Amino acid sequence: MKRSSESQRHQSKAKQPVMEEDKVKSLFNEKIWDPEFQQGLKSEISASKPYNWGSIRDLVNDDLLRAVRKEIETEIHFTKKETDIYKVNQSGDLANLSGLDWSDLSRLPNLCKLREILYSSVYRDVISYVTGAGKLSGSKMDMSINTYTKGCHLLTHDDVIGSRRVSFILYLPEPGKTWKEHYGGGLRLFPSIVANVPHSDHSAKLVPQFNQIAFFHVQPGFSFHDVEEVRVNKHRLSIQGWYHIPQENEPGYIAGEEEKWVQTNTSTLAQLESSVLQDYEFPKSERDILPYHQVKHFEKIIAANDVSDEVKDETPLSAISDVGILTDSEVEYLAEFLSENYLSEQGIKNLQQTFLEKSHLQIDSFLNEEKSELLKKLIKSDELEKECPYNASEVRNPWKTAIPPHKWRYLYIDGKSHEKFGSEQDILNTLNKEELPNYTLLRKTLDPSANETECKLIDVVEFLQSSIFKKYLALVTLLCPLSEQIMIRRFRPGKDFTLATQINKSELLKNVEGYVDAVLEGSLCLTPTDGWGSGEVGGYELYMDNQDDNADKDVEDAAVYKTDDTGDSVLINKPPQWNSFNLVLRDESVLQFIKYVSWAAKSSRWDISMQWDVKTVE
Amino acid sequence: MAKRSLGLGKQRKEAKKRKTGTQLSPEGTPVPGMSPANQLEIELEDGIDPDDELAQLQGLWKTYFQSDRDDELVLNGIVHECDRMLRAANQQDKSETSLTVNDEFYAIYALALSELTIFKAGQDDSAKEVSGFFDAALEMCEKGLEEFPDSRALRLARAKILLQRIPLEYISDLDVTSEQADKLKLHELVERAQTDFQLLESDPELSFEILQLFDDLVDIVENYGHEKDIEEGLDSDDEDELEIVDLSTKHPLYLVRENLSAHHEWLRNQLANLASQLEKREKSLKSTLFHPVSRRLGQLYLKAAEKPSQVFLTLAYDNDDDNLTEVDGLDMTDAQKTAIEFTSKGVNHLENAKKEDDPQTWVDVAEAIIDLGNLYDAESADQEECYKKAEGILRKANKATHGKFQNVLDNLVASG
Repeated sequence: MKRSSESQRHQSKAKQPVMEEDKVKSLFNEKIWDPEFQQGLKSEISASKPYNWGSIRDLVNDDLLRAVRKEIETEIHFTKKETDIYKVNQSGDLANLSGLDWSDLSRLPNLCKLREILYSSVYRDVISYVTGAGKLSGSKMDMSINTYTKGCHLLTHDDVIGSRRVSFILYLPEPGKTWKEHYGGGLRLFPSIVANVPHSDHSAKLVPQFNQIAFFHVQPGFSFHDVEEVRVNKHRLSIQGWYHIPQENEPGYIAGEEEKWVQTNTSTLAQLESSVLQDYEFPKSERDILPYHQVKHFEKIIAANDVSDEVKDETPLSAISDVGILTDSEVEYLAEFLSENYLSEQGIKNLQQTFLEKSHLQIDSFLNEEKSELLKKLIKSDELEKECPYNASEVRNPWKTAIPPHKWRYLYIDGKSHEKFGSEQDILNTLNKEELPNYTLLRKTLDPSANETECKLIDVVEFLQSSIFKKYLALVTLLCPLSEQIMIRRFRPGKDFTLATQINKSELLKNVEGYVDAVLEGSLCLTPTDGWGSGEVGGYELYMDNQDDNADKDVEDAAVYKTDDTGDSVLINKPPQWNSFNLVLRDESVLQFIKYVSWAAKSSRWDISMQWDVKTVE
Repeated sequence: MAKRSLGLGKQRKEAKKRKTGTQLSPEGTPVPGMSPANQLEIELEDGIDPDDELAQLQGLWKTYFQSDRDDELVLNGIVHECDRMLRAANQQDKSETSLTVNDEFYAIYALALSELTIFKAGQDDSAKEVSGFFDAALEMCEKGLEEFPDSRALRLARAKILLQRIPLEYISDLDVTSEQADKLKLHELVERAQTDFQLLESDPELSFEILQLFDDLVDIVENYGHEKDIEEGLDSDDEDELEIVDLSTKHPLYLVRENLSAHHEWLRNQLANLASQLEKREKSLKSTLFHPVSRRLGQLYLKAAEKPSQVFLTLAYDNDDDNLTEVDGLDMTDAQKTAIEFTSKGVNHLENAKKEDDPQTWVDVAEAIIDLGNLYDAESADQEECYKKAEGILRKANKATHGKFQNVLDNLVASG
């Protein structure tokens, strides 16, 4: 899966018969030609929040748009496509319409007419004036048709691709009916904390109606928006398009302008990968280095793995014994949390063998029955009886909201103090006083009766942080942990996700002898409900091959991923489950994400996520 | 250095390399991803002889029946096995028979043949094939019934085949202008299926499935002509009421539609019997069957209440004409009484369908209680109690689902 590049989009530059200006004007609502209306709209747009955007109701001739809708319904085929960033029914690209045979063109005459008037000089001038975006190209036409049905969504992005100057969406839900807010499908706009770092929650929302157009000036670092999930069985049909920087021989063309623009403004993904912005993402994809006195025991344990039992008696006891098997007291400690099946010598050997062969393990019923039952009861009752915050401003200690939303959004507990980012200064203050995680301390700040679930989850985290558990991990993987990060996460329905990213290798540890160019990732899924198996409601954790590592990131499409029809690149697809532990040694070529959790999911997706840098031991 | 995992991505690349290499390799390293032919595990009940061919067939059929039923190969396997066993049974010298087929055998054979049509329907030029399978399935029932005339299993199988056949073979070929009522006589087929249907205590799953087929059929007939609108999902918006599409008296579905309310009543009675049977059964059947049966039953009672409710609400609140005292033969008091009776039953059954961890099932109850409240006299204590109860449930459900039912709650509070 990779983002499609500018060159792969079919932007039409072909000539087509030109309509008379009067004819074009007559097909629009006449109000838009009124200078007073234009002036009013321009002022409205320049004062609009969170950035310059506007909308016009009843934009074009009603009969024309109804005819367009009819044509789309009867002549265009939609395919449902799903990636980390969207689920949508997409049509073929319309840009090549004028390249069709006349006989084929006759299938979509109204759509063709609509496209012509939307890219007409007289209408472009209006859009250029009211948005203040400068001249717009009429020759580089760029449109597509999408229909969002129940469950469809498009997550936060800024539309910064190539030479795009203005984005527009013309809505065509069922004519004659009001599209209600609770249907979902709204266009939501996000304010930014600083350039390229949008707030977690939107501050403006448009509930789309038939024949309404919304548009905004594409502003790198600011024009963040998303399409809210459609919650009902209805078609939210829309035509999405862009006006580009004028091309050669067009009014407003400036030689070199487009190239310079493209070079300066990178896409959302490229921003995310820039190191400056990594400062502004929370939680950080970084792991805290383990004390050496601990690591040296793991080294010995792995080195001893193949050695005979004789060593066993000679080893002095520390928190963990240095032998390549678990001692009785270690088994006893682990059994307080884990199912005993996985603790026997043979059990460990089996896991070791599978992990060696596949670099991946899935261990079901990982926690023992007692812990599992208790946690399930608590999490379920939290889900059903407690109000869950949906806005970042309402999230209370010990939970925090992961930002920025063009990378991920979820609730998490990371063992550090509570923080809430309202402004750039808040972020800078946190960066100035960085803390190390301390779950024991965090628990002391919690009211044990009001936060019973959180306290019990923290117990599990502390167990996972223990030296004995890491010894167990070293035995199962034959890899020596060097650092760790453990977090409790909750992905709320209708809200949370992570986009596909590669691992963030540790710059500090990369020169350590035996350092493995990969991250060991664990995820203990604690989702207490069913109904996730089909993938329809999202929440699944997906690992996939990043097939083209060398794609030119500057021209990647921030909104559109290429669909992988073969499914060949999917390495692991794991739907949420109760008490299932997934362990993966993820190297650089592998992308991973957690799919947006639909409104229709029966509960949040809960997990404890773990990462370790690892090395091999001779 | 110790041997170690390569990493997920590298491991995949290695595996791909190996895969390419395998075809050339003389050692014949197994190709990843190639597993031996699909093997099915069959669970036999305790005390059953695993060498008993009939018991094996029953186990296989049960396994298929309870699966996703998406494996045509397995189904074909069952049909072939039935065929083999039937031939073996027929060829044997009766005196030394080791294989005797019973009524259940014929039922399985017939049901499997009928089930095959699901894979065939919709394929190009499959009409004849589908029809052939249904004929063969019914023939197997008749053959079995000749030998076992009192078999309830075989009559139940026949009911299922008929109810599967009507939409799949006949209705799929019709449109609103069709006029071959005399030829198809679909209403007779529906009645025959109703006569054949009897709850089989030993197989509540099959009984429920047949009632669901009947339910779907009635639904298709009721909404005939609106298939496309329904695909568009009008169900999510209350304001969209579908007008019944008129059918000519010669339309094959005309008579079935004329009897809709009787069909609904029959369905309610059968489901009610099934629900009371299930109530006494083991806990495991509660969530798999008792809840869905009760839910559907509740919905059907609410549906039955729609017409009298409409009459009552019109006469009570929307009546500017002093001379209008009844609608469709119902006066206000009768309409109110009937509507309350049906709606209360609906509420009760939906209460039975309620699951502790499924807020949607709570909301179903709340919405039915609001309907009930609307039927009591305005501002009466009964009405207020209903609204209060519904509001409590909705608030709880809304909290549990992070606002999923906010619009339902808003409507209730706003109108209160």
